[in-house]
Amino acid sequence: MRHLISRLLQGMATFLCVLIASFHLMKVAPGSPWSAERALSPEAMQALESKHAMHLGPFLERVLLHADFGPSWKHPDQSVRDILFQALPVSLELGAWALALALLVGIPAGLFAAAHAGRWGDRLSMGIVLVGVVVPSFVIAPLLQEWIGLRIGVVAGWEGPWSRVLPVFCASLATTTWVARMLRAGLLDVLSEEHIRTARAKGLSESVILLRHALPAALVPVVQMLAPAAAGLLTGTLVIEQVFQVPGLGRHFVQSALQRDFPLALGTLCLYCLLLLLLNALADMATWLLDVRTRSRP
Amino acid sequence: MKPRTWLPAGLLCAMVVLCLVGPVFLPAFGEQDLANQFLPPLSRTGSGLHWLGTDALGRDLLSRMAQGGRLSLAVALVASLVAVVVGTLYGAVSGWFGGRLDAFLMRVVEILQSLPYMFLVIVLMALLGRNLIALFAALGLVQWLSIARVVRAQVLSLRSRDFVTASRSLGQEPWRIVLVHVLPSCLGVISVQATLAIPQIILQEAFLSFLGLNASEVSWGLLVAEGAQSMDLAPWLVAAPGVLLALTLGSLQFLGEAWRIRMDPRSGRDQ
Repeated sequence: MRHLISRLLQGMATFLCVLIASFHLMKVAPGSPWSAERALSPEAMQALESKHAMHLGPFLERVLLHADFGPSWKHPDQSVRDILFQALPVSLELGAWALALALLVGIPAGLFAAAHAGRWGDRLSMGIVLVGVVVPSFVIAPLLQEWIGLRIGVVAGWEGPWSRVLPVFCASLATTTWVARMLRAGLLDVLSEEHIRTARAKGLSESVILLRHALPAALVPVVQMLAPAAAGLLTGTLVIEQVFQVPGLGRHFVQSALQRDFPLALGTLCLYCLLLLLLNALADMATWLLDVRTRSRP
Repeated sequence: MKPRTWLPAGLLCAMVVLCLVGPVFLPAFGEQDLANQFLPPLSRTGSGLHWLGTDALGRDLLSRMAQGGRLSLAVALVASLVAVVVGTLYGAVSGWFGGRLDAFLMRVVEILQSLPYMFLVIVLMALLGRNLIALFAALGLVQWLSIARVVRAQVLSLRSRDFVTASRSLGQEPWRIVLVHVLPSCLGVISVQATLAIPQIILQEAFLSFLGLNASEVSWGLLVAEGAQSMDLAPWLVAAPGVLLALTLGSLQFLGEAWRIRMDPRSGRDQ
């Protein structure tokens, strides 16, 4: 319990650091959203800048107490909060489906490989999932969109179940690989332990040993890995959303940073940071629940 | 040597050779030729044979890939050097001095590890613009954390060994002991971490280029992004750089794994 509380405090400190650091980063960065457009008179420029001047104190107060980043600079009629809350569910849905698919494919693949360790079944399934590490999502996504999406007439976007198949599949690839590889390595470790030998000597069938006695312990490293995997998924959605034109957070993030729309960029960055910290905490808790051995540790 | 070692090693060597001497034998290196847009692979023009065809501006794709590979190689080398230097120094200081300083430094690493790094790098690249040095530093600074942890653990276990005590009792200064006696024994773990970091760095650079945050030079990620825009006309513009990137990453991955298993004293079995 003390462990969890200290992790929570650490997470909050991290969030605050990111908020302050990125605030200053954007303040000192060259360029402003207006410098790219038609030339403005120096007076107009000054008026714009003083109107949008940002100070750390009031900014932190608004963000931390009211979750309010003010209006977007590029789209003054929309508040950053509205933009984020429109985009967030889409990104979350994409990430959640991708994670589910990765577990649904990765766990059986890891089990299958461990059960056939060293034989052709192992090599085959590990060879197939290796694609996820080696072929980047930004290579496979446009190819699939061209060869499958357009052939069977699925338009890019986020309408209807069919338009979600390809983005979810592409987003899940890398995570699938990691799940399968971690699970296989974990299973091989557990399978060489004493209690497995006892179970074998008792005459239990190989599938019971694998599923009932080895799998729970082997899932611990997989669950521990889920936090970084979720971070990878979130990063991956940046590309997936761009290729498949999914109206999620990722597009706002890159666009706003490039256009120097600082409130929107800061808001997206903070939201991502918060999501990651939340996932870290969840993974911590799941590890704690799953493995009795870590509980005794302070 | 097993085929799983020499095959990726050979592929990598071929890639490096292509990038370095590509300009010598490839036709019209990177020159535009608007009369010959989107030529399919293996077509011949006045300037020579285009092995992989040409892109939207009539430039030879293979030479563009060689050019992009140079950036990938440079980024991988410089960024992993940054990571190794920063990580080794940090880890050595933390492990050698121990105590409160160690606890504090490792807590900092822990906090940094929970940061959304790629997002910060993206913001940094977007704000600083097309800056090669920023790219090197940013990608290197993502990777140094794991090196620092490994070096710290190694230094911690070496600190109480006999040869360190011996040189301390001979009156050596601490920084000399660390530099001359302790760090050379860490080279194994450092090299393992560095080889595992290189494919990551190449992938991240390509990822940034794909998102449009490239460092003003042509790179594999940029080629894939450009190719994706004219995919219905010329699918090979995505496929060729994509396959080259995948082959490079796969080879580095295999070599890194083989190196890790070889350097790991505990791993008797071949996983």
